[in-house]
Amino acid sequence: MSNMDEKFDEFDKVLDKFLKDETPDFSKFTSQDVDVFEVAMLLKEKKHNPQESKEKVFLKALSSFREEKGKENSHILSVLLKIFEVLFDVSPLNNFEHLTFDQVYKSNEKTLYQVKFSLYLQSRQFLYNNI
Amino acid sequence: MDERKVLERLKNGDEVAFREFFEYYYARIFNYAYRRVKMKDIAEDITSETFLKFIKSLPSFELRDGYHIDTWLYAIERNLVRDWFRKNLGKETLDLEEKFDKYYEPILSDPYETFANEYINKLVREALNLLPEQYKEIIKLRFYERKNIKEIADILNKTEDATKVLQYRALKRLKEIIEEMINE
Repeated sequence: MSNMDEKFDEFDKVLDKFLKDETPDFSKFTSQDVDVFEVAMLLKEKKHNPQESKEKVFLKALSSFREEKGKENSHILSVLLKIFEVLFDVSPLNNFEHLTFDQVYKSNEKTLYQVKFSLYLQSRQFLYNNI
Repeated sequence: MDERKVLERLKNGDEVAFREFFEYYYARIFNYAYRRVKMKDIAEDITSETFLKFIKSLPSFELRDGYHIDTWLYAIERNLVRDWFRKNLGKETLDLEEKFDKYYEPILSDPYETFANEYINKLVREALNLLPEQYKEIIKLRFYERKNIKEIADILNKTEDATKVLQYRALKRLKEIIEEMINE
């Protein structure tokens, strides 16, 4: 097969797929082939019912819509949490000082109560109180 | 459809509003893409990507006076169509498409679609009539009767290779005639 024959053969392969509504591979097209193919695009008239694939596209779009909403919500929550942390310093590394012994006791959190109590015993406040 | 209200509900994550919005625009967005690329799968991908890009840009979008949601959707979709042409055919847009757009300001409304399609179809029909008989015949068999090269070769009593050459030359000549008609 000569180069020219190959060129016409390749063009027909792409055109054939295009007319069968399959996705062709245009990678071997030259710019002249693209020009000629443009007319094929004008000539192909086939009515399509967009309803057929609508639900598939909808579900994909809806999932993205939910994701974006989720991102936004988590963003708002993280901002609120930061503000809360700055105001009340809720970090567990601060020895739970924002909680009273009473609150810790009522929360039924035994481990936390023990930790808080031992830390309290070590604190200067304890020493001062007992001097 | 009250566009501002819909936009507000969408921004609040209202899924009912999203369904209404999708129902309202889907067919128009799909048809626009399909009219350009003439391939169902590609048109579907472009439609889907248009909605995804719309959703991502939603938080920062403000509807200015005189603007409509479809202006925005169209801008997203047009870029996607251009990207597809650039990536697959090596050209940002096809020449004829640009030339048609010079005559008709493209918007997503249905009257434009009908009008532009009618104009293009009329132009192609007229151009076909100006083709030599042999060229006209092969285009009719391939595009209107959807016959494959082998069948056409049998009808025209030619080899398949010769039929492929004839098909290519017929399309090339048709393009030249359409261009001459547009530039008149």
